[in-house]
Amino acid sequence: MSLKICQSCQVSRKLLKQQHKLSEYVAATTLPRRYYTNLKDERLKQIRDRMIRVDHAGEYGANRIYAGQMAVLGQTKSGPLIQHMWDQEKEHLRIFETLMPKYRARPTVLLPIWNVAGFALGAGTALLGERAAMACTVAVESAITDHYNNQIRELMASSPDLSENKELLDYIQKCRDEEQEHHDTGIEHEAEKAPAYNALTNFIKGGCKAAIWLSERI
Amino acid sequence: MLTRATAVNRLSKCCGLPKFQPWSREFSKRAVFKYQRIAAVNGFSRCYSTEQQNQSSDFGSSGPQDGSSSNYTNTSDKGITEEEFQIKLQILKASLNHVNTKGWSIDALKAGASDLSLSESIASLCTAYDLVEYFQRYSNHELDNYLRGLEKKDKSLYSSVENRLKFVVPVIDRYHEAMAISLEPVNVPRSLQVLRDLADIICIHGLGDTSTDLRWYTKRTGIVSLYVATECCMVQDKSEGFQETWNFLQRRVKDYEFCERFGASALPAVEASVTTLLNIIGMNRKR
Repeated sequence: MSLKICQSCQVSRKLLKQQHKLSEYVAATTLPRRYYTNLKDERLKQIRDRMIRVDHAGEYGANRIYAGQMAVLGQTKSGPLIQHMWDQEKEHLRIFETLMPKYRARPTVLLPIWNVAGFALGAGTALLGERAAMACTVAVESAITDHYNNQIRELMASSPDLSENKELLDYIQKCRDEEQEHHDTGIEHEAEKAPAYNALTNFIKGGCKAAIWLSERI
Repeated sequence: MLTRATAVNRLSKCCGLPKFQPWSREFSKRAVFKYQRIAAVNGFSRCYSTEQQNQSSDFGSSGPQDGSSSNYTNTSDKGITEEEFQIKLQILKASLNHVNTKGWSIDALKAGASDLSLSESIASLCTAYDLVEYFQRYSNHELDNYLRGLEKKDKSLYSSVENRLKFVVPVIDRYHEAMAISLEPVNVPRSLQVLRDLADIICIHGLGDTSTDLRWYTKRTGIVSLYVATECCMVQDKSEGFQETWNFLQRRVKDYEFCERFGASALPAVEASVTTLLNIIGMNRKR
């Protein structure tokens, strides 16, 4: 293509068609970037798009959950702890916000819903008490850790060359480890003594899995 | 072009099948097709690769050997092998040279296949929409390359869309057919995907957009509608050097900018009321 064509468009239509065959449109400058020229790369691209979308949605939702907990429990003794976990979640969200334009992934349409639902979940469990809030954290983080582990497995299996997905793998691993840490913190702070612990965590885990399923698709 | 018998014999040779007897009863189009499918799966592209390089076609002659031009795939490719996929790409690339004479049709694909000294019946690997989609993706890809090389100050919404539309110029007489094909209900999901890619490129390069919320959608919808409207205008444009189209595009870009500014001034009013509500229940407390 290049500037030649920009000028040529001032020429009459007929001339233009004779002079500029399609081959002249080929850009002379090929920049060092991987292009999707085969099926494997294209499948990788789709996998990455899906993963970044669902992870972004997940971190966004997690942020809202901690916001909800802080709104209720901000002044109590577990305030600083929740604040610390929230700060880490903010960092995760920032990571996926930078990865998204880079890999040209699409955000999910359901973000406004996760915004409200996440806050409601956080605030709702916090209203049941600190232990229930910790139980909520435990449920969410265990669902998310599982989900990250699945993603890491899928990424490792998707391509024999690990360096292709290195950046994504590194970030997912970092997030996975910190989510696991949050999960353990929750257990330490007597999450299991929360009222109706089993029912509560199973309910929240189910909700998380449904949200993951939806965000991967919509 | 090779005769059918020679082509088939070559194919059978390179994948270890018995020699094809033209006088045998099996010598039917269908049998040829069967042989070609087997050959394609067994990777006859490798056997033919030297010939294909000699017959470099007009369209994108700097292209596929370094693999930079064939930025193409679609959802219907799920069941096919890598080799078949590469053959498809070769055929589609060669076929684009015949679009102006034969239209976006199976005829063009056949002509493209015979340019590569393949039998015509292998063209049935592709459909007419595959050809259209290949063209669109090819153009998107080249636009991406071009915009990547520009300085930031040279990039704008207007220039990105203008440059994209210039790819259409060589096939403008037949372009309405392509638009019709891509609007067939079966093809709509795939053409939407292509449009999304285009909008992505324009947003990232033309607008420098990095939004990750619902603005991602509003911006891309705006750009897609702007592009499609201008495309429709271009197909009917009979003026010198498409002057009418560029004027039309300038007006649409102004509209788009107005909408953005309007959104930027009207949204806060809506947002403020929602935020107030949310603040009352304590949702937005910052710490």
